[in-house]
Amino acid sequence: MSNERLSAKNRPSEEILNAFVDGEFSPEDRLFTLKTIASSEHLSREVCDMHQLKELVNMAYEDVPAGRAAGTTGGRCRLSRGGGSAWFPSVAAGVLALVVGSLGGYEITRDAGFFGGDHAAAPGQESGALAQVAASDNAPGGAAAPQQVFSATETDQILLHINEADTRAVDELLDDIESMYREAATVGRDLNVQVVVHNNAMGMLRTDSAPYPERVASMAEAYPTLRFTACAQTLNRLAREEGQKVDILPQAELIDSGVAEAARRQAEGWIYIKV
Amino acid sequence: MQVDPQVLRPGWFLAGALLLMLAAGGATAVLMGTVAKAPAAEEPLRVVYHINTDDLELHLNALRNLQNHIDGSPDDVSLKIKVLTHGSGISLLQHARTDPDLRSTVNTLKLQDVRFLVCGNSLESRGLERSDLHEVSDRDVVPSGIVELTRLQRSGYTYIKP
Repeated sequence: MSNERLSAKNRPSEEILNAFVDGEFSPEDRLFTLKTIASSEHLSREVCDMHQLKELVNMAYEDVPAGRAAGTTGGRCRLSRGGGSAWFPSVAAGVLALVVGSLGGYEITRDAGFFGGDHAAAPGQESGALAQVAASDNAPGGAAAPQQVFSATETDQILLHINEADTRAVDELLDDIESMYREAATVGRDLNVQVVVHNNAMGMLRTDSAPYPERVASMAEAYPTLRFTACAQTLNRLAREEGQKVDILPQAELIDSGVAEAARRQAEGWIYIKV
Repeated sequence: MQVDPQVLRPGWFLAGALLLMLAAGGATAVLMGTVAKAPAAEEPLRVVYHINTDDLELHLNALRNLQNHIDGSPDDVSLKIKVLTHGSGISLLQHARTDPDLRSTVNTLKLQDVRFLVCGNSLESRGLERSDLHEVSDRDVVPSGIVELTRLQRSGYTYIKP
């Protein structure tokens, strides 16, 4: 304690200490300051702290040349301290902060989409008008979407397009949808699945010819984000040809046009799969 | 004079150092991010061809298209092409065992780094084994073709259904 008081009285000003650490003194001044510092353990510890800080800063900014004073004062620190173990926590904390800072900075900047020009990032998630407009501006047709477009969203928007009459394909489509939902549940993603049925595939949703009406019903109930949609133009054509209204399953919704819907969804950034 | 030792306690230095480190870390990350993302022009063009019908004629046509796709691409664009066979389309690699034309087309494409993937669900539902198909390794079988198509498109693959 008395040692500390003494040093507080005689201690060189902070400018001098900083200049010393930065190696800005002439050899005479330097020797004098060194003596003053060495005379007080408290003071030498402080100078060591300052030196350490300078080293850490140098490390962080790689292109700044290492301090000229590094060699000489480094030795002095070790001499006057007698043991470097007290440095370890702060060095460790510094390294940890560097790592955390790097990762944090990288994550934040990457998720914010500052790089790569793919501003179409995350067109899915909300089907709000803003998101849709943004997506359709950048990804017409959706086909040439840049990589990792969906990295920031946890929802996959998938359009399954079916237009051929093939019972086996329908069967497998339903299997596939189930496996998609299973997979999404295991990896913790949300799904938005829209089945677009048109042209020759309409039998799949017609009340009078649906091959798996119960399965469609149970799946629509099990997965609230699954939609079966039927092309109104196909239904109109069938009604004209058959001379009577064509009924579809109660789970199915009407959309104006299957092809237009497929194009629209792709423009909105949906994943498109033709079954 | 009494205040100075308080202000200059190592704790303050440590806090300052931490802040500096954080800032420096962020700056480094931003720099590295810029460097890492800069060569976007050299990103490979990723394409997945989806085959799900059992139709030899369609298979031959699709693979011919694919070869044209490769031939027609500029030399400085690297291509990453996958063919995902799924549903009845897994017969493509069955036909390749018997049809020499198809087999040599498949082999030629494979030599150009085109990957042929097979839907595991479809294999199972048809009671087929890997060995029933033309040179399919363990890595070429994906659990579910549809899930794989979703995954590929999500990671930037363009979808083509021949």
